[in-house]
This record gives sequence, C-alpha cells and structure tokens, in this order.
Amino acid sequence: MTNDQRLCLEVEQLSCARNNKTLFEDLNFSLHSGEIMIVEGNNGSGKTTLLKLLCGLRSPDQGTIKFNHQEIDDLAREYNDQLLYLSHKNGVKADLTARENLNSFCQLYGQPAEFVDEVLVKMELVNEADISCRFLSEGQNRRVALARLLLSPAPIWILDEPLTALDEAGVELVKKLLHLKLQREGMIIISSHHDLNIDEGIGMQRINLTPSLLTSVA
Amino acid sequence: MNAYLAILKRDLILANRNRSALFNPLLFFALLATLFTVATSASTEMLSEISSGIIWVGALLASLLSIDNLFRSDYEDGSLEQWLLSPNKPTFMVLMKVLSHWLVSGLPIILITPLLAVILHFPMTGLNVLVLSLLIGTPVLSLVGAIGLALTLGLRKSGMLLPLLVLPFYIPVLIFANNAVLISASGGDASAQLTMLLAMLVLALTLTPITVVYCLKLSLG
Amino acid sequence: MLRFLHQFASPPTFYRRSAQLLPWLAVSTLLLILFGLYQGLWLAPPDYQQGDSYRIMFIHVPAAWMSLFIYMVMAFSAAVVLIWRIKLAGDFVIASAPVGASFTFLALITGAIWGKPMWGTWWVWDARLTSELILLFIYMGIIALNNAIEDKQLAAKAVGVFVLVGVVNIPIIHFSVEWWSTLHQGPTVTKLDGPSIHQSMLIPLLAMALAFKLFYFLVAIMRVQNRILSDEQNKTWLKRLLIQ
Repeated sequence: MTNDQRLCLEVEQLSCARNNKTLFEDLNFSLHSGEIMIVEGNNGSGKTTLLKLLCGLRSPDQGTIKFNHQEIDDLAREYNDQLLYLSHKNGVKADLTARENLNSFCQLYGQPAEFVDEVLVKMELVNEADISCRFLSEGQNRRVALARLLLSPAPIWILDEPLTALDEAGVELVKKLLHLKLQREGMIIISSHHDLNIDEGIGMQRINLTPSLLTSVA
Repeated sequence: MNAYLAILKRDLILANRNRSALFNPLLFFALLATLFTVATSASTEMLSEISSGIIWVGALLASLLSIDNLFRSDYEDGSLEQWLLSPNKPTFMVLMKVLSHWLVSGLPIILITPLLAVILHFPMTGLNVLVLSLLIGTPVLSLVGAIGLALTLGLRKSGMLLPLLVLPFYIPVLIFANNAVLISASGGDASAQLTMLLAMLVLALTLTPITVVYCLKLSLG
Repeated sequence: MLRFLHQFASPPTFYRRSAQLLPWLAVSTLLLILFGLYQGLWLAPPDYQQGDSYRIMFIHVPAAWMSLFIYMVMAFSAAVVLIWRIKLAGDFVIASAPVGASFTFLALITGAIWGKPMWGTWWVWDARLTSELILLFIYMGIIALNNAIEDKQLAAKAVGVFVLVGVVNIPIIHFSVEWWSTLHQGPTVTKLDGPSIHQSMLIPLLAMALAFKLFYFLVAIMRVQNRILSDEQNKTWLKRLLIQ
C-alpha cells in the first residue's frame, strides 16, 4: 500500500439493538486515512457494540459497513488484515511473561520478532519483561496489551477505552502513538473518556451515542 | 514461525505451566471406572462384558468436563477476539486450538486406557481396537464439544446446558466405537465400524471449524 | 413465487394474513381429527394379531412422523434466518420447538402404552423409541438454549445454528441407533409400525397425519402471532390494528 492510496471506511444506515433494546438507528459516517473518529456516550449507550460492528465481530441488524467500497462481510480475512482491535480486556496471557506475550503477538501478525526488545523499552516494560504477567499490575498489563500498537502493521486501529488503568506517563505515550499513527495516514476509531488533544488540521469526527444526543459532527 | 503452529505451541506451553490441571481428566477417568465397579456387583465376567462401555463413557465424560478449557481462558482474558481477528484463517486457528486441547486432555486418557483395561478385566484381544477407536473418536468429541462451548461461552449460568446440547451428538460415536471394540474383543473384524468412525471424524473436521467460528462470533459480539 | 413468500417476512403482513387463515386451519384440524379418530377407533377392523390394542398406532405413528416433520420445518426456517436474516423465520423456529417436543413426547408415551400389551413391559430399547428419545433431548436442548440467552435476536441465531447442527446429526443418530438395535434384537420382534397396512387402516392413519400437521401450523402460527404482539408492541402498525 503506497501513501497515495487512501483508505476509506463507510458506514451506511447502521442499526443495532442489544438485549431487545435499540442502541442506534440509521447511523451514517465515513472515515479516511489520517482521520480519527471519537465515539462518546454514556455507559451502555453502545460504544463497545459499535466498535465490535466495525471489527466485523458482530453483524448489524441493518445497514452496511464498507471498506474501500466493499462490504466487510465479503472481504472477511482481507479486512482482518487491515485492522487492529483493542478491547476492554487485554488479550494478555497471564501465565506468559511480557516478552513471551509480545513474541506471540508478532507471530499472530506474521511479523518478525526483532523489534520486541525495542518495544519493551518504549512501553517501559524492560524490567518486567521476564516476569509472568500474572504478577504485573493492571497498568503494566495494559502496557503489554498496548504494545500491539507498535507491533501490528494494520492501518486501522479500533480502540475501546485504551487509556484505562494507565498512569499519566502511559496516557501521554498512547496519545503520542495516536498522533503518529494519524500522521502516517492510519485510521483510528476510538472510544475514550479522556481528552485526546488532537491537533488542529487533523480530520476528526465525534459521535455521541447517548440517545438524546445522537449527533455526528465532522 | 507460522501463526497456526505458534498458537499450538503457546497453548502447550501454557498447559505445561499449569501442569497440575493436566491430571484432572485422568483422575476423573480413573475415578469413574472405580465408581462403576463399586456400584455394580463387579463380578469378573460382568465387568469384562461392560468394561469397554465403562472406558468409553469415562473417556466421553472426561472429555466433556474438560472442554471448557478450550476457549474459556481465552474468552476471559480477551485473547479469543485477538486470534479470531488476527490476519489468519479463523477456521485453522480453531483447529489448532482443538488439537492442542486434545493433546493435553484427550491423549493422556488414551495412554492410561491399557491400565484401566487391565483393572476392569477387559478382554485384551480387543485392546488395539479400543485404543484405535479412542484415537479416532475422541477428536470427534472435542470438535462437537467445541461447537457446544462456542454457543454457551457468553452465558453466565450455563451449568448443565453444554452437556445437554452436546451429549445427543456423542451417541453415534459411542455406538460405533463400543461396537467395534466388542466385535474385536470376541475375535471378529471391526473394520466396518472403525471406518464409520473415521467417516465421522472427516465430517467433523470439515464442518465443525466454520460452525465454531460462527458461534464464537455470536458469543463475542 | 418468491415475492409471494417474501411478503410474509414483514410482521404486519404475516399477522394480518395469518389471522385470516387461522379459523380455516382450526376448523379443518378439528374435522380431520374427528374423521381420523372415527375411522381409526370405530370403523377400522381389529388386527388379527394385536386385537384392538393396535389402535394406538393412529396416534403414535403420526406423532412420530410429526416429530421429524417439525424438525425439518425448523431446519428450513433456521436456514432462512441465518442466510436471509428474516426475523420471523427465527420466531417460527422458536415457536415450533415446544410443539415438536410435545409430539416427540406423545410418540414416546403412546409407544410405551402400546408396548405394555405387546411386549409386557413399559419400555424397550428398540430403534424407533431410542431415536425418538434422543430427538426429545435435542428438542429440549433447543428450548433450553433459547431460554438461556436473553437477547432475542442472538437467541434466534444461536438456536438456528444448533438446529442446523442437529439436522446433520439426526440422520447419523438414526442410522447408528437402527444399526445398534439390530445387534440387540431380542426374541420379541418390535414392530411399532403396526400390522401390515390395509386400506381401512391407511386412511385414518393419513387423516391423523394430516390433522397433526394442520394442528402444528395452527399452534405455531398462533405462537408467532403472540411473539409479534410482544416484540412489536411499540410499533404504530400494531397500535392501529388493535384500535380497530
């Protein structure tokens, strides 16, 4: 993929219900390379559900999601190649060490493991690298999970509250990574309570799923 | 390293780090044989007749009890969605998970079967076919069990639901396996029954992975 | 033809059309049952082997046929839900399950009742009864799975998958149980199909079979209507309809 090739995610008339209650109806937006979409809303308003829909983990009740003008259902694995999803849960195996977890991430993504040491440094996990993750704090486990941001080649990041459990330094680090990603023409969809300090000039959209406030502001 | 082998290796390493859990299916299997013996008249002739049934039901129940390990831990720590969404064929990932689970939970049971066969006065002429039937049949149980687990993964109070869903589908395996063993134990040729078991395995290998992937997404979504 | 069927995918149309259909279904079911029972219990001659006790066949055999017929209809509806995402088909699957389970149970009970005078015991592990028993477990699994999942849409999909897994397995189960029972064939020949079918016995049998089918559709459609009523309670079309 060259830098000229812009990626495009289009959501049309997306509707979804959960536990017999409608979360949102007729949602429309489109996102391009270098842009970020911030999903806001009260607890239970459907932020996580929306992110799961965008990953293809869940099928919408109505509407379509298209990546580069093709439906993600049809693309299946090709779409998986394009995205990295981080959920509330860390996806970290407690009985493996941080280093082993990172190595296993590389293997999952088909990436060489040569950068694992560098990433451990960047995520400030060098001293804890060879301790079983069971004995690391929640914040440290979160950093292991977030190491994926540095190891995965995927252009699209779909992040569900990535900043939880992080200390100030961790939060700053992730904000920096987000900016870097956008500068490199990646695409980010993120739900977060924090203020992300997005620069002026970067395409940003917000969407608030709280029923009374359901708006989409470019 | 190839992602599929990587997940296999990772699971085996994880199992190794939790070694005491490995013995649970084995102990259960042995306990079950003891329970049956103690609860019945346990005359040598009678035991001899029903021993293959006891061994097979024991293996079946042990497999059912351990099936939770297949996806539960990955589901709870968030690894499940990661490897499902990774740039790899999800069906192959499922097959690798089932393989690692079978190696850890199914294979040890097969290895101690000869021991149990001796204790239960199993007619040793049928031992080869017994082991062979378990080798072919237990993977089928794991695969079908995987579907049941994938369907009930997200449910909080699933309790007896998984066995209820899965046990009816275990019955054909049980019928053919047990029959193969009985025929072989009395000196006959069990190749027809073993072929049926093999056919079931092939069917399970082709149809189960995609079903499991679909059900996992239902539970994750 | 497809367009004709497709209109039923919309709840309002289904509700209206089925409301028109139900009285006809109810009347025909009643008439057929009366006809079948009259023919079977009164007019048909006693069997030379089993005397009058064979007459329970007129309930047992159609019930057994229904247990499989309903499952096939459920499997078809399940495919419609999963492939074309038509919610009503999912409702139909869930509505049919208890009916199927009941017919299976009926088949088992009548089989046992038939068996007592025939074999002297209430139960025999013959191929038909064992297969029916396993089918009953599968039905109960379907009902249990549906009850365990709160989200109705998710439940419909999960149940749909399970029904389809069952549809692949049921022939295998049936085959293996048939085969297993031939190995254990005791001296009693268990012919639950009843005596060789004479025309005077065939007519009531078919009448009952048809009556049961109509009964099933009657009950299933009523249950789907109930479901529509509860799921669509906030929709305007329903409010307008109820006001009329």
